[in-house]
Amino acid sequence: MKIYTSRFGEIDVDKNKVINFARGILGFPEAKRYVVLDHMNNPEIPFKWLQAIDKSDLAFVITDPLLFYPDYNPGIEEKDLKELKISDSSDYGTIVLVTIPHGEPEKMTANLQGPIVLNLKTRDARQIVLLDDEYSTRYPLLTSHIQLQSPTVK
Amino acid sequence: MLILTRKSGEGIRIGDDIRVVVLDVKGNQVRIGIEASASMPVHRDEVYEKIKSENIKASTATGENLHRLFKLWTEKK
Repeated sequence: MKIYTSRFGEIDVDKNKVINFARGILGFPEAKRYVVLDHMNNPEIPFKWLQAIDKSDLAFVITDPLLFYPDYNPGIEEKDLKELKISDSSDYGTIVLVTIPHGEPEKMTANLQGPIVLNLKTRDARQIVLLDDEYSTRYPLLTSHIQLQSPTVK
Repeated sequence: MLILTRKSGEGIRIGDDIRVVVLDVKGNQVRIGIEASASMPVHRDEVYEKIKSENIKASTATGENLHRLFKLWTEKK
């Protein structure tokens, strides 16, 4: 199916690749259907676009949190897994939204407190809000390895 | 906003499916219990707002931003 996007113009989307957010993404309840697009059509790039199908100008940069934070292990609650009909850990994937400050891409951060959980079989997804503050909404990606190695100075 | 006064141990029903109970009051802290169906998202207000505003910020990324970012990323590696 063909969709129009403000960033990429008209694109052809495989119907089977559509991701359904029954509740939308927080702040954008009106957009329920999304599709993942490679940046510059290059599947090797670890940052991808999560493009809304019904809102042409709405798109997020997403990435795999494990690339930057190998120990990332958000405790997804049973009820959230149930709502997404996930019964096995191999049934789902976790992605995070990336914020890139204008003109300062080196200061990019990932929202680790609000990960997106995707049922890989049904392609139903939901943004989870983690109850505790163990993970930041602004986790710096490019400097993360430095921060992890040096002790916190207080 | 509807305002009700409740004592410790007393509750409030919202519709048929949600029950909020004041469990404990100590100084300026109140412990609240919430019973709701599993599909009803319950969030602490400030966390909800923080994630929402971060989402709104994240939604303004442009292709140029991401391209510069990708360059930085490959240089780092």
